Amino acid sequence: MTDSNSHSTSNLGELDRLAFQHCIFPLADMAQVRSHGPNIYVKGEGVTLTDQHGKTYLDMMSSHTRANSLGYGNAEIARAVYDQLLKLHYVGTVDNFVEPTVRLAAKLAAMAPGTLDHVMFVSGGSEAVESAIKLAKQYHIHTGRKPRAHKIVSRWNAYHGATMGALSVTDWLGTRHISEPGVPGTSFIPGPTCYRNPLGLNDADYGAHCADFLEQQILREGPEYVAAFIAEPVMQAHGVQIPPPDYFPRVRDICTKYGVLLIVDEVITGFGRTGAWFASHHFGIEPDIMTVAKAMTGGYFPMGAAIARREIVEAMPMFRHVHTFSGHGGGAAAALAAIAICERDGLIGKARDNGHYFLTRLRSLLADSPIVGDVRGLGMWLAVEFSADKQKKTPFTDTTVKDVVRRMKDLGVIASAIGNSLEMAPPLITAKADLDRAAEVTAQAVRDVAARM
Amino acid sequence: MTASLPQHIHATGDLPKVAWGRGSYVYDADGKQYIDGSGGPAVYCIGHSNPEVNAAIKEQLDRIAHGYRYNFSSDALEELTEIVRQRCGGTLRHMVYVTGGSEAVESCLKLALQYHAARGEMPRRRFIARERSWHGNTLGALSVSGFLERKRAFEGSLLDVSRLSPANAYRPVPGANAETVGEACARELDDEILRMGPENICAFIFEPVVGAAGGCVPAPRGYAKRVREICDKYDVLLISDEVMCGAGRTGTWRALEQDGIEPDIMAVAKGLAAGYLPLGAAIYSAKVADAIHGAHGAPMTGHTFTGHTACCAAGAAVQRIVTRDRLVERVAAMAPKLTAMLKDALGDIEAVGDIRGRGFFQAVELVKDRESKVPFNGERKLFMKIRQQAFANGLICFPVGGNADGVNGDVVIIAPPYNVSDAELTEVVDKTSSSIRQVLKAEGLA
Repeated sequence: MTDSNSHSTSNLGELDRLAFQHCIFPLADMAQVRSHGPNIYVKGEGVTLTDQHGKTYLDMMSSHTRANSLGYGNAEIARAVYDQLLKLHYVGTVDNFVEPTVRLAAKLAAMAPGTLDHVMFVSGGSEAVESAIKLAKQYHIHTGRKPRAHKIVSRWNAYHGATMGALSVTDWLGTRHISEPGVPGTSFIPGPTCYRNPLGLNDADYGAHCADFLEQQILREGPEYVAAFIAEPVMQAHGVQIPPPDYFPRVRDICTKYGVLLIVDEVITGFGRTGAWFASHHFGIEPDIMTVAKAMTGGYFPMGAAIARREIVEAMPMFRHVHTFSGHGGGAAAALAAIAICERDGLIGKARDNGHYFLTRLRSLLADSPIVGDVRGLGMWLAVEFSADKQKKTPFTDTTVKDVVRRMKDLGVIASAIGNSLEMAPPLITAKADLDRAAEVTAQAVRDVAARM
Repeated sequence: MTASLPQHIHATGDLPKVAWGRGSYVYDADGKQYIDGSGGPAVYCIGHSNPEVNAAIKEQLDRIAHGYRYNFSSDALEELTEIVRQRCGGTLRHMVYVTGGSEAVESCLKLALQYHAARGEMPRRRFIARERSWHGNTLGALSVSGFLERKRAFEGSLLDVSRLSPANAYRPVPGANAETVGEACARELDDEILRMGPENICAFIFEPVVGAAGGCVPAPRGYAKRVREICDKYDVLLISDEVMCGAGRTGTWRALEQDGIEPDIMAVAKGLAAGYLPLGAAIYSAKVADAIHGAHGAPMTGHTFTGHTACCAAGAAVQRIVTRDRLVERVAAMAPKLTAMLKDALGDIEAVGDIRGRGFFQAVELVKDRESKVPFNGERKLFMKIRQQAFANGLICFPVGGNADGVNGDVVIIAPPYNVSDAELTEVVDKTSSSIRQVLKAEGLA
């Protein structure tokens, strides 16, 4: 840290100063962090966070990454982790498992779409995607049908993670191009976006175009070289991009037709976020490989998984891939507890119903806003998309979206700015009263920012 | 004998022997006459066996065949260089001579990389190209090409390249029409540069009029200008691949003259020495030259036969004739007539979806359905059958396939010599029409 930076932080409190002096802020705009300070929280309870200055917030982002699906201070999960760590925390990897990891694998096999029933445990979403890509490539080698298949087709604005393999199929947040050249053989095609698309088509026609594009891309790349197509079922870029209902069934058919594995990245959407256990359920499709992480443990333990069809795993005598913390006992205990809570408390159905309620509230409160172009959501994942000119759907190029989010934070509600949209992903446990307050604060912040224009 | 062309475009199986040629005609060893309606693959632009060109080559061979470029300059090289400079105009005054189109494109790519290296921008390594494009058979040129059939066997060893939608007024990208497709496709370039990070992008390469991969698809209105602006905005170099469409083929010496822009680097070959000897060039602008020459002294690319003296003599002789006889101007003047003749001869065929092109680089696209523009199934290999039928009828034309979507589509390219006579042009068009009709009938499609 330079002297001038030290000087500019000299009036900060101790935690802020330590953070600036010793923490790397991943993917944070440092100019912004310096002007607003890091967010340092000291306490959480339910859906409420308390920062170091004692101010409380309604956390409608489930801890920024949307992982904290079951709220803060869940004693059941904490106890399950504690008990397991005391009993047997970890026995390595390869062919060594702690008991709850095996039970979790069986549980996930029962929950996952269709015939997905083999689980590779890892420590987070990036590793899950990395594992899925390697499963796909190795599968084609071993079946002998497409031994040279190494190409992966991804989509514009996709986010699949930060490790090199996952990053190479990523196209969002400016993370990819800084580390170019990436893994060879990746190509990007358009994905169905809501409200706004580069061709000016309606959502359904654009969705059909995007599915056609996949087939074209596979043909252009050569089907025998294409190992997999990877997609988020609901894309995060620019806020909760819900595909038209026909898109994924067509994608599934195209992948099947050309022997291309379909990897559905449910790292954000898995475990109830969209009002279904997995978003694939909404579209009636079965991927070949599914990746999960984040809400798998309610955010109480870093854990992810790639879940594959039996045929894929049985094709290989050895999956040539390993991570030290695959199937850590603490993670397995947390995941089993989190899943049990969702089942017992009917949280998936609640996410669907409350999400719909929240969406309806937001739509009615924002209907007359001159700067709101679209309000959409699926389950407990919602977005408000802004337009400087609603007729032309012109996106804001200034700080408007961030200003709304900042204003909401001032008013005590945490949301996120994501491209042209404001995003909210409340914990699945959020009560209707809190959703009401979040909707009202959103409307007020939008009004306040619009009024300044 | 009846010529039976093999099914693959690069195969050289059971073919007739060429005996001799004169002007627009070629004769095989059995005495069969062919009218050369496409100058082979758009190469023989002043006809065959031109005595002036042959004399110039012989004169050079009698003096010396080849003075190694890195030991000597030569009269032939200097004359050709001056002609090319005059023809290019603007700041395109620098060139690396090579022996063909693939080497020319390869050199363009390397010049672009060297330009950024010279400026200390080493991360600028990524090329952006287009689907349905053909840039050549060497590994770099193949990497930027959007032509799966020709790339298949080499997959895994090619550069990672971004490829954009083809800019095609007849087959516009969804949501666009013939008027707006140029802007829509240009915007794709802008988006792709931003997506990959401008600081990683070396150059955008495109054919101003797409050749073998699309069938004479001219840049839609406004496209090239917008592409130029976008490249400038991000310091991305613009490479114009004029191997097929350049050297006068489209009615201006540089194809992009008609679009009102100058590329940073340009590949020419084919028509440069009109097939008399192998010759191509990578031509680059003052901007590129200043950076490269300033930092490294000279381009770090060249080959044993770079600036081969006899090849340059052939090129100079061909270009003298093209200039003296105002052949490029002739192409421009006669192009509308060729279009009208093709439309007259072929317009009534239900399967003819589009007749297009620029100058003496025009094409007939066949479709299963005019309304929907759905192509015939690629497995029919209709274009190969037309090529075969035309050959049997004594017509050399240049049918290509897969233009619609990479797999399906059939186009017949017509690229007559610039000095073709009216009667010869009529023969080309008539035989094209009858060959297409015969094949459609035999296939039960008409």
